[in-house]
Amino acid sequence: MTNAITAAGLRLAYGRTAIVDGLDLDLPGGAVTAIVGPNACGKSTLLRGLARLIAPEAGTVAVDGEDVHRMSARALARRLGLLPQQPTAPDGISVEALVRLGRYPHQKALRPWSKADQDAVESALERTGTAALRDRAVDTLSGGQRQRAWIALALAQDTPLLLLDEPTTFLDLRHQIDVLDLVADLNDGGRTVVMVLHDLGQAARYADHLVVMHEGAPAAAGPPAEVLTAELVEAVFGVACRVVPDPETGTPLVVPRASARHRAAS
Amino acid sequence: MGETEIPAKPERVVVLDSGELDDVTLLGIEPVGAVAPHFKTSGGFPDYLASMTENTVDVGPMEEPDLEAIAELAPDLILSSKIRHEAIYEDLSAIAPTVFTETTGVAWKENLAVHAEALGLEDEAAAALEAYKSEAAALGASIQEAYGEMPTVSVVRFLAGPTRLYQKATFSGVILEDVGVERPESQDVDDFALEVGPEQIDLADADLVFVTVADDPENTEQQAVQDSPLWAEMEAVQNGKVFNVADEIWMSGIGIQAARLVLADIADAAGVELPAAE
Amino acid sequence: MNAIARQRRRTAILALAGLVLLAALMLTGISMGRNPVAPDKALAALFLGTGDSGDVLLIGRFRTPRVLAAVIAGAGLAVAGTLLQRVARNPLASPDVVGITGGASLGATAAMAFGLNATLTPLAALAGGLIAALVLSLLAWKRNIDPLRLVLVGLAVQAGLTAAVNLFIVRFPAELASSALRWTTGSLYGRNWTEVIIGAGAIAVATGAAFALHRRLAVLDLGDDAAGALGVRPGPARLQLLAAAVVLASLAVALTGPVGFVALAVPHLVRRVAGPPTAGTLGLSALAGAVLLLAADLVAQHVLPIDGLPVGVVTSTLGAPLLLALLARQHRSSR
Repeated sequence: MTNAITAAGLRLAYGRTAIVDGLDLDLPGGAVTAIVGPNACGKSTLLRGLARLIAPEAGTVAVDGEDVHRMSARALARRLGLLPQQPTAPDGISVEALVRLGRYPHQKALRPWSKADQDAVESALERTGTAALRDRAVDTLSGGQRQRAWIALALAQDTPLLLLDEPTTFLDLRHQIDVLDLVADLNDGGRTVVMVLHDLGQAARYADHLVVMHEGAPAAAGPPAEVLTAELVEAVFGVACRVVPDPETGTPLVVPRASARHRAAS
Repeated sequence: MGETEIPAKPERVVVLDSGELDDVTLLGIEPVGAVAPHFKTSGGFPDYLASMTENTVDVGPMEEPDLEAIAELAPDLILSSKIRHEAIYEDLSAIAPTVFTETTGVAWKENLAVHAEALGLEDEAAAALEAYKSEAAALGASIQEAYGEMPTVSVVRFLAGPTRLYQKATFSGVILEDVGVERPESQDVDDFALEVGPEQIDLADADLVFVTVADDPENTEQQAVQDSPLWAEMEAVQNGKVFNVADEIWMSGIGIQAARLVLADIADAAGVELPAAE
Repeated sequence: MNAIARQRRRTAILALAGLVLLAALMLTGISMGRNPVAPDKALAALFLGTGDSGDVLLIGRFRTPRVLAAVIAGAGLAVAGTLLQRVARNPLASPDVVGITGGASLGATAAMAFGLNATLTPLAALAGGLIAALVLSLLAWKRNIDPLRLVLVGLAVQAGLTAAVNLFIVRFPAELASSALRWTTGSLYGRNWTEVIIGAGAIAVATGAAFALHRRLAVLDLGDDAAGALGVRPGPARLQLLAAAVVLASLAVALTGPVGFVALAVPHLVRRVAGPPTAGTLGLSALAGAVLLLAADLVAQHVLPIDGLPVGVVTSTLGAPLLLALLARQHRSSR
């Protein structure tokens, strides 16, 4: 079992407007996949479709060949966790109380809170560096702290597959790196991670597999070094650029070309 | 509602509506507890029964009688009707033997018989009814004599909501029928009442018009009706034949004592002498 | 001690205080009246049937069912209000807003209009409330129940039902209208053991269901996406919770008529003193609802100088300023 995700012929729509149509995708198990693309290209919709939060109008999503729509909601939630884009915590709820909710899919009716549950919560708090914040109300935290608390919730869910929708948005650089390092850690522990990112450089640095979405369909998918070319970026994002090796890691780094106006001014 | 065992001669009686109050006081019993007439907003028990209710405890309001107060009075008989207090029959029965008639109003003579039986005073009730009947008949004869042909009589009640013209299946309707006077077309119907707005008030026109006001006049359409040109054009109004009478007698009385006062009002209005009681 | 343990302790202390207060009020309720009975004698009359036979009747037959009706209806309304506010994600949601009380009122007034035996009025109210809730769910359902849509549809349903009730009342003969009006204000008059026992049983079952669903509700509070990712399908979960709330509210309203404000105010009150919602605070809501409605009925019966004042008048006139004061304080402390 590698926890690979496959989508075939997937059509996802809100009302009559199809956002993703006829999409085929293979996301390798045990790897970090980054989904990138311009605004409104359907990357968040795709992530929600993979997590079964939207019922597809056509096509299938499977984890290790098993159709997610044939699984019970709880069974799926024990295999696949998701951090939504801008989650809202109930007023006044403490970090620990929030993270405890991650244990929901593992709890059984009438069975009290167990040691295994508490251990999972402690470990999630520990790994996300939120143990010291456990008694704070989530709505009093800074953006970075709050994001880490939500990631802790997803970790407490203890799923081999983790989907993250823009986990670094609204975070300063330091916290962005913290979150992405955490993702790398999780992957080292064997988890499959799929995340939507904005920053192409970060995506290339942290992902084993890169999916570039364009108008509801993948424009390219594969190892970042093969996928991320100047032609592709120009075609998808409409930005002329150079792709150079990241001086730190050697992964591709997209450097937009200075515009004519910019050049004239300097 | 079921069989009820009643002690030989009940003495501590609680009545939960105005007709029951008229009946028991008629039979010489001052009730230990009673309620004020429905819609009567002030003044408590009816004025015409003041001498028979001096020591009576008010256990109202009529819609939700105070069960604790009733229990405290330790009655040996409770009288009311299904239409008023069906929901609390069980509670009342737990306090004392409870006798319910089916309804009130039009059935006032039958109800008197039921109440008299419960009190063991059937003979007294029958005699009172006979006296009333002969008085009504004699009044009818005097009116016939004075008018040649029987005048039409109309009954108008102002209350919260639409104004009512009372028809034949009512307390007042039965009395008018006993007297033998005619009713205007709108009221010559074997039913309870016709509701009218200010623009239909001319339906109330008759040789003699009796008006009662239930509730605070502010809550009724009395002002609007009587300001309407249709009202001013009514023959009874132009002839000065509109008579204001007591709601607690004509409407809520529902017993022989009230009925005889109604006869007196009719005699006054018709300008004839009320035949002396035998 | 951490935040969770602290809140647990606080909840336990409040629950204990609430139980003591409730017991005191219940004892007051069966002792006080036109003919006061000493509390120990009242208890003996109730449980042993000993003492003055008049007292036994008074306490066993009139006071106790009324006290119990206030307790169970108050608890039911408060739990229903808490569930509705969370499911609808709207602090103003309550059975009055989403059409349940409107349906119950229409059921009761229709029963009066068609001359049904008066002892059947509560049953007609229950049916009316449930039917209204069914209509609401059908109208609000679109694969899922959108909270905003739920409230808007609920408002429309309530408005339509209230209009129908008013039409009945206006068209009724004045005698029936005054009974209907009394019913729609909410009154604890004339409750009997049969109603109380059936009501208590049904409300206990529905409250049990609400507690069983609480974990699901807590997850649903995180938003539809987060809930979905945790294995809670928002649509069915909301429908289940809504069903529990509707049954509770309909039962309570059948017992007392649409007593205002308890369902709206209690969740805010509990939130204010006991912190963010947990299963424990749901229990506190039940307790607070019982205390509030019973206290209001005692005030209506014994403190205010008007005979036969319906309890709904008291909850609304005392509840409104209470809620305003609460919100004002909350506003100040959050600044």
